[in-house]
Amino acid sequence: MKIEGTWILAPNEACAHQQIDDETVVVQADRGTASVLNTIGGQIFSLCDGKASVDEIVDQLDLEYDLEKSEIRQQVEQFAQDLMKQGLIRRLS
Amino acid sequence: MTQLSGLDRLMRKTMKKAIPLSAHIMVTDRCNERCTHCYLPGQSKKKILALANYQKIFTQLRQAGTLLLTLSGGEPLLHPEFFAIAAQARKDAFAIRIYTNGLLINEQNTRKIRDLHPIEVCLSLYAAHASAHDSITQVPGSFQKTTSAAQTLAQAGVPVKLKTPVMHGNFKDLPQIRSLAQQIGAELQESPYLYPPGSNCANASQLCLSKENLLDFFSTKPDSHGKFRLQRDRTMDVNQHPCGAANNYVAIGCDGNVFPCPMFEQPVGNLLEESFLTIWNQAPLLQELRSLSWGDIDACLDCKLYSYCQRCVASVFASTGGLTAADQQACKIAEACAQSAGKNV
Repeated sequence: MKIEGTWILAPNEACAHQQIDDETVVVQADRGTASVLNTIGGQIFSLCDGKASVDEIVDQLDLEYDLEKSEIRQQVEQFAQDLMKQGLIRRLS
Repeated sequence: MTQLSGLDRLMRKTMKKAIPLSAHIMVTDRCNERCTHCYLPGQSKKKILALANYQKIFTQLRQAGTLLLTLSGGEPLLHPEFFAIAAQARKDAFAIRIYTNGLLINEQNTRKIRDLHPIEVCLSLYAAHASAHDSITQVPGSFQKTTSAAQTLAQAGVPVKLKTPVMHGNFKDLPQIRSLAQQIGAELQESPYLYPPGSNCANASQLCLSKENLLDFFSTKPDSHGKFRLQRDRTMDVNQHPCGAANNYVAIGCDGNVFPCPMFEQPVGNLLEESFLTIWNQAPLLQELRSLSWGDIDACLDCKLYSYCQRCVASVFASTGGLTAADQQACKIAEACAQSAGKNV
């Protein structure tokens, strides 16, 4: 599944989440599981807020990290794919 | 990304850093049952918080680091805005758990609960037969309603847990209760520990299992008593907090009073008067609990029963007014658990 730049992603309806220090814990009520995301993972997850597009998420991270934008995009798309596979986020539009 | 190992580490971190990961919210103290063993006081006419209050409280809890809200009572569905409060909690990205007796759960409420995506709905089941269950709740027909609610919820795909405090009066019913839980498709949590009596329950010691019954309890179905068994081989860390209360756990009463946990009767502040973080960081009793470690509990140091112990600090506080005495009920249960595991204690 290819993540498109225009997609808008949001947490799965059954998910709950909280940031604890530099980590984010995401509980999936429908699966009875919990995942702990590291700093950058938690940041990407929190940017999947049902408002920003994937392109906008990449733009936001590009302002914060000293990496090539293409590398940031690759990491965001890969991580978003992983989150979708695990049912932590879904595509809104 | 890590799974449960990361979560264990997070639990330890929240304990160490006093982050209130879990909050028990008693949205009302009204109840439509009158359980003989209940630790809550009887009916009161306390003013209950409204949705608008909870919106502010939830914002404060999010900022403090809370992830899980247990919506409880009394019977929480008696709060006229229960579903709006629960929906607000989910909107604010909390995980929710609901404690209910199920008497008000019908098909419509089941759909509402399912759509809230709770991590679980816990219902109290005291017996496998109507006469025994209803004699404990003191409400005729409650067995039928509770078991029917559990079944309806389970069929709707909601994770259901039946909680059975194992007492003198229902001990012999346990095999049937286990079968009933299996039929319903619900997890069953059995515990012989009865939480400290409030003014409503002066006879907890008469309700508790005898030593003989406790031995039977732990030997009949060992695997089901994980809460006691799983910690069999743990060793005491004298620097560890003996309880989550005030460390990563807090309770909020229906009128905004804050407690270290639901079993403590002493409020440490009120959310209508102070912010949550002010109370959480500054209340003397919370600070005292936070400073308490196993090393401070002389009665328990070097105890061979430690691995089996479920000491309740609220129970100790209720019975002694202090925090460092042994918990006699926990000692009795741990002794039986250890003996049934073949330990020479």
